[in-house]
Amino acid sequence: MPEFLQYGFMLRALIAGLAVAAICPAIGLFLVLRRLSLIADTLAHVSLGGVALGLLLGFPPTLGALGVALVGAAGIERLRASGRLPGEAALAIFLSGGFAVAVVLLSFARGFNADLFAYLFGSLLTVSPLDLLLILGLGALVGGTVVLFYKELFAITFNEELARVAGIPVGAINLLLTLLTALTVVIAMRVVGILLVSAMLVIPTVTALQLSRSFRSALTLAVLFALAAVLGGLIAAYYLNLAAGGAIVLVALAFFAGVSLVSRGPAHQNA
Amino acid sequence: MIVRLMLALLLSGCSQAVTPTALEVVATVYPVAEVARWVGGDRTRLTLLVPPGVEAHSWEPNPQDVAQLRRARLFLYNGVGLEPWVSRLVDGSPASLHRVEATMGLDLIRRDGQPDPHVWLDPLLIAQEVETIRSAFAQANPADATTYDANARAARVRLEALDRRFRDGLAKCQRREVVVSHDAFSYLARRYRLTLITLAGLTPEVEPSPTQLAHLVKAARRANARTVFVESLVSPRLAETLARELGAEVRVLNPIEGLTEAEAREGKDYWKLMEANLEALRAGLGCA
Repeated sequence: MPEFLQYGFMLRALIAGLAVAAICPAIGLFLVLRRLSLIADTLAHVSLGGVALGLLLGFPPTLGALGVALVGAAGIERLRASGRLPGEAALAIFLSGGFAVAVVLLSFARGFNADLFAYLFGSLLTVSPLDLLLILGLGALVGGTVVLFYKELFAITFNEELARVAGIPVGAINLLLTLLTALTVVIAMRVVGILLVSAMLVIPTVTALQLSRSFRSALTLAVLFALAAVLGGLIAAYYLNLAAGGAIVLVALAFFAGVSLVSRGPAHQNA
Repeated sequence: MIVRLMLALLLSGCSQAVTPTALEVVATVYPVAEVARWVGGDRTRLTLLVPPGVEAHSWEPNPQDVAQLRRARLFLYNGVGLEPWVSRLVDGSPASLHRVEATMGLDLIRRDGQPDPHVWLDPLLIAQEVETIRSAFAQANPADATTYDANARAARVRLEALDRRFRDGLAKCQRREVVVSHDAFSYLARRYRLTLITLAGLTPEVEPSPTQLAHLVKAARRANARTVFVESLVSPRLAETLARELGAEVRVLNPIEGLTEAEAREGKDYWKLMEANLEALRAGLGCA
């Protein structure tokens, strides 16, 4: 066994990180292709309000984040579906609104800086066995739902109108995708922190999209890139004395840069 | 002490013209305010700036605090970098305001060039601080100098007794290595010959890297630690991770930077929290 896995906290960090790496690109691919990359970032900022509520009222902040993210997801989807606002404007409203609520709540709860920083920048090393169960449970829920509704998700991703004609409940599937995004954000928050959550959903996905010609191969490659980023990031953090969350995202970015340099193919033709 | 205080009150009652109003004192943090309360007794109107449960470092003055300072005669602060906002705060306050750094002249411990501000965890250092604050009170309000004298003497006697309890209580222990999540206890460790195992330069806000955490686990294993101590104001998650790694238990070692609202409600103060610290250390280190 390599030295860095002799510690329980590193083992838990690795399992939690790999679970997140397996889930994030699965959701991220649907989002990127539908030009909704920013929705993850929005939900992460909204969920900070839930974290603040938890810290203030003394219940587990992760539960607060989960509740608020789900409510926020439903709200975003309604505002977007109503068509009264351009999609990005709806996201901007929720992103800044969620953050403003969090800032006001946190001003009541002065003196919780340590906890707050753990949520902003991730806290992979202090994942407890209970956290790990939560991450694996929610991860299985997200993964299972994606498998179950794969055909529907695929259909609305490529052509919403066609999907509607084919009898797919587009509104419901859209809502499902947004709710799954909210769940994924809350899981990934623990690993890389609120400020870097969208990196885990977006970067491995766009890296894979530059190499693959089919949806399925893009999905497989994206998951592989994400897994490699978590493994590489954690090892780098251990041996080079770095912050774990940031190291993971930087490794993912390095893959992206490397692939961009090497390949000048499919992505350009597709675009 | 109460008798002496009442006597002092009676005596001052005879010469009431000398002190028509109580002395207005503003203190920055709880440990300094506590010493000011010992010295000033009932004859002081004491304002604490940093409220319960707030880290001194991240506190910001609001306009009311500045107004309060304009009315005060005496401004007491800990110094040693604990309140980086002090110079901004006292800028522009009237020249009649006496400003006193409570840690003036103490033998400070430096780590990586940074002096440690937590002097109050050593009863004998805080006994010296009592003298600094007594002389500040006497200068700001000479009329009550004898009262301050008597109060300060009583506080020093009590601090020396506390020191003896620590000295006796920690004399025979199975271990002298204290694994603690945050670096606030160097004065306590120096006075009672304990060895601290902490993350060097760890701040409450920043998570350690995996390398740092692994070093800490190794050091704690070498010391055969059975207990990991956490400070109460800061998130215990890091210490819980460490304790899980070592198969150790978690106990609270309070740095007494401030009282939380709950602690204040339960009537806790410096004396009770120091006694609790002593009990936690004795249990965690296996002291006879």
